[in-house]
Amino acid sequence: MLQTLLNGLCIGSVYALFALGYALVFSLLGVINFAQGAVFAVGAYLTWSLNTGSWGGGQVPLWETSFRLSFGLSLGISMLFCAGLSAFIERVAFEPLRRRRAEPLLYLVSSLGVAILLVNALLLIYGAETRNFDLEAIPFIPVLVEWGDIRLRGIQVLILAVSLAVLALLILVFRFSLIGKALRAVAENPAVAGLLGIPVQRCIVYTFALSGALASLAGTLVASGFSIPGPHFGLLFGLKALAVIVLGGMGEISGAVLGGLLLGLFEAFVPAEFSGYKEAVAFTLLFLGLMIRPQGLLGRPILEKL
Amino acid sequence: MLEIDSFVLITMLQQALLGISLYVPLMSGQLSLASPAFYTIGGYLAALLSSAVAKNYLPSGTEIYPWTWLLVELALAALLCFVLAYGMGRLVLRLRGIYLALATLALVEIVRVLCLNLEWTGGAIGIFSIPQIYAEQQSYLWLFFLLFVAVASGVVCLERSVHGQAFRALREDEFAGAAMGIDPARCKTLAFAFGAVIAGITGVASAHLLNTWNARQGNFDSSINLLAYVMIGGPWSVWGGVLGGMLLSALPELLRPLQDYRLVVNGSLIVLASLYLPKGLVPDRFWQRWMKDPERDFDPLWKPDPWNRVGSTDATKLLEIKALTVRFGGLVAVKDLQFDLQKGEIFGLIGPNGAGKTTVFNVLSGFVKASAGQVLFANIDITEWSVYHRARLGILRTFQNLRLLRQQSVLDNILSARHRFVSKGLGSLVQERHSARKEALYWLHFCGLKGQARRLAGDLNYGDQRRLEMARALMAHPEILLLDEPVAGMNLKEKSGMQQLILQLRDEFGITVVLIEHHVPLVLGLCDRIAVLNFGQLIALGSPAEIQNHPAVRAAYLGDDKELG
Amino acid sequence: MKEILLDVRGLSVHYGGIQALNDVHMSLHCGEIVSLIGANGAGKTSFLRALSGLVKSKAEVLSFVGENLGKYDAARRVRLGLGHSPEGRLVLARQTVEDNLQLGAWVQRHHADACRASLSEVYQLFPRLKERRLQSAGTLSGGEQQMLAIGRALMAKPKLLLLDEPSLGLAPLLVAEIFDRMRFLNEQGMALLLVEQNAHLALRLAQRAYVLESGSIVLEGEAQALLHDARVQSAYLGT
Repeated sequence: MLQTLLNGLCIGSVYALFALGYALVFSLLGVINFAQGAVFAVGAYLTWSLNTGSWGGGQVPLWETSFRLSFGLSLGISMLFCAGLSAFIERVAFEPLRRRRAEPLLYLVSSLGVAILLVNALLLIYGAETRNFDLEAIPFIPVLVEWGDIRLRGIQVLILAVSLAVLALLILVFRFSLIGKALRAVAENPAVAGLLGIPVQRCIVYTFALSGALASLAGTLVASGFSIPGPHFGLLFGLKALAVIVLGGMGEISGAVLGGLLLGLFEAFVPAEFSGYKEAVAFTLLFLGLMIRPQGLLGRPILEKL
Repeated sequence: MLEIDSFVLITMLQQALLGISLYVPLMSGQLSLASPAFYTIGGYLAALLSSAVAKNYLPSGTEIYPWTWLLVELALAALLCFVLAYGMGRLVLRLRGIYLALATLALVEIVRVLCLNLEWTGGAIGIFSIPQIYAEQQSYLWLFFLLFVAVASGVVCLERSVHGQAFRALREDEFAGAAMGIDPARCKTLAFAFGAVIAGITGVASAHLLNTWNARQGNFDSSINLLAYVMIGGPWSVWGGVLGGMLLSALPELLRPLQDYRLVVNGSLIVLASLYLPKGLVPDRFWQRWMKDPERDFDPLWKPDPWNRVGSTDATKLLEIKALTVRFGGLVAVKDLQFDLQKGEIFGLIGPNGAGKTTVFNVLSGFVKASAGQVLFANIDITEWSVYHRARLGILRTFQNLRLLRQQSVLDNILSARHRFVSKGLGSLVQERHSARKEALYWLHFCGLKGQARRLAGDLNYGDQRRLEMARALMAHPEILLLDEPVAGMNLKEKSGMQQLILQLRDEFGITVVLIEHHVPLVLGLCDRIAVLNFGQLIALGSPAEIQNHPAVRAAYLGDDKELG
Repeated sequence: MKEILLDVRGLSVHYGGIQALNDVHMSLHCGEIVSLIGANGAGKTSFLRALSGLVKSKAEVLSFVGENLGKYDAARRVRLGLGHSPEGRLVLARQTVEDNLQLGAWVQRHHADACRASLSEVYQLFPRLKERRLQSAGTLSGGEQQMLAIGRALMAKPKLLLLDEPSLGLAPLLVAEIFDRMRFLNEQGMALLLVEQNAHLALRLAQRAYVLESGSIVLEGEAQALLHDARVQSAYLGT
């Protein structure tokens, strides 16, 4: 029981981390950034390459570098890179549409185009093979942690600790810092935020960068805890993250965290004989959630303006 | 070479059909991504049924599956998808925009996981050796071509019908549509169900084409692809979905020389298209420029007969408001309001901004529920009636902030209120269409919009937009016409024109008019009786002369000197 | 004559195909209160929004403290000293009163002392806001929200404050209180541009006024003179 709970929290905290990026972008622009799932995969592959020193393997021949960076440093570089990538995506695929006040559906299509592009670029470089992290190369992390009846893999403990720490930090920043308040102001009403002198455009770029870094972190944690089954795995995770933010309340920061943890727990408690249906848990929750409480668990009622 | 080409053509037609299946719900403003789910369901129905038929009813050794059974499958799939979608529609379609898209996306994934795990759908392997209709695979081109022609022409007819007009009105503004007498729930469910039917029958044909069917046929990727078809092709007409579907499904084949790079290029093209073709390849009103000027059909001698929907009640009270209270959260917007309307009078509702005047209109037209009290129309209690129901009864309104269908032509705006012309039989369709146009043109000229029939409503100036709102409401034959600031933003000449028009409505057609207006001279000169609201309460009711000299009114509204204290 | 703070000539605004403002001009001097009156839909709010950069506009001259505003976005205009208290108040309903005020001081966020000083000044001006400082802004009454919107604009130490319909939907007593504060601010040397539908109030507070009709300035002059102008009386004062 407690074992399942911890397993669920472990994966749930990664869902929360990833979903937070979607929630931040949605709260600011009211659109969904599909490219986020691809950035997740890019982050995982980049950390893997930096950490193991091996690149390519698809159309690009396998190529080994002599240096191998530590896990922490690889993750750091990957997060920075993905932050930049995400900000670049904002520049290329979102900003021109925003300047034209295009309808929200177009954002969906253009970010989808970016996602297709990135995923297939990864496919060209790395191929579709499964990649695994060399867990023994991560220092200070035991392979197995045992505590009474509970057995957790060392990497699971790492995932849980890192995710919860980052989540807590972000929630504190958003609630109490002036930057957090400014972001919430932009989310609530960009025009008013502009009237107060808050640079709306810069806030949006920073938010995209943050969501890219979070995607990279989540991607790396998932990949090190399980594996990279191929470039497409980010999109499936992205879909689950969508379920999470709907469940918690679109654009709600604490809602995304709660939704992520809940989804992890629900999935963990699916009995083994129904494991085939595990993938449907997220979508059933999404569907039922929308039917019963469209504004999500922590969201405010959606008001129709007459 | 020939074989590849015909297969590409088949794929193009198939994807065009799926593109249409996403477009039809979108016609009524709903982004439903559920098409792949119904496509999968249709395919499984065909696979299971035809396998069973081939085993049990056909003589063994039959290689070619008979046409008649295919038709049965198509009919059954259409029926099944319609029923499923209609039932689900009532549930799902409360959601809007991105929420609806996500719910339908979830539906697609749920169907996929179910099909992957259920026993009778063949699990992960799926169903094999589905009977063939043709010996050669390329002959399927004919089947898909016929299906495509049938579906596309059906949707074109739908676009032109009363229903199509209603769908488009809802897409642009659901509130305005309902206020003109369109039933949003019914229209949206129908559009959703039509889309599902198209996806379902495409699934039937595809299952036979592919010879095998499994859960991978409809997934999240295909949902998003369909969206890209419609958005890039152009979400405004059926040809957008068709063109988008054909181009984007042919693109990977055209890019074949690029080999492994083709999907990367494909992704980049989708980004570029959404950035540089924001209106799609087939823009809105693409065909309109070749149409003749509709105003040539205007018949200056004809005019509609006055109507009376109330029947021969001798009650002089057309509308009664009893002890009406409206609360929003803790705020009391209207408090204990009571007055009634005589048939054929012009009634003014004035008061400072925020006094609750528009809230009263919202309650009368059904947009806001009364917290307490009653509204009676010709002695019928309509307090609980929905917006469209009241519009059909004869309570029509205009909006202070103008809720026109800005992307549609002036004539189409008026025609969107033509729910009275809904025909039952197919034969009378043309006749009804003709008389609806004739009357729409009458109101167009009546409200002084001569020569503007083809212009976009959003391009008109404020004054004309206000007149168009009025023409649209008149098209629905109001008993009571609620005018919310009819002369706002007009100059003096336009104001007096509007004044004449309102008088004409009462004198020629016997319409009862209620108006909210800030322009005090107009109200004083036009109205038979005036009610003054302040902070949600009635502070005075009477003739213009009485109101003008009422001390409370002067203090509250006309800005008496005491105010600065 | 004091120096010119705001100078607008040939300003027009389009929404889609509709022209909301056409060739509007206005000038405003340091320490002056100017009113802009006109009927609903005449374009008063559009004018303020064009000044603060919320809507795009074209203008021959659009200068404020000698700088050409045209090249700045809304946030930069605040830094130049242009405060805007928008129509319908538009407070950030989900954040607390104090957070709203602190965000108002965004442009001087690196000067903690200045922020603290502005905050206490605003609380002095509107003691009610201090009482409710930890309440979320959406739960305030209309009058308090109006005070918050004005206070928030004051946090950035504007040279010119644009006020859009401060009396909208408020009880007369509250209106009097708010107008009293506006007079006080003006005595401290702040220039005000007041948009009002209540022409009486507006003309009695202001030194000069402009009358806007269907997107164009049709009348301008000393406020006292306009108060007794026959056209203004019949159209806006209802007498």
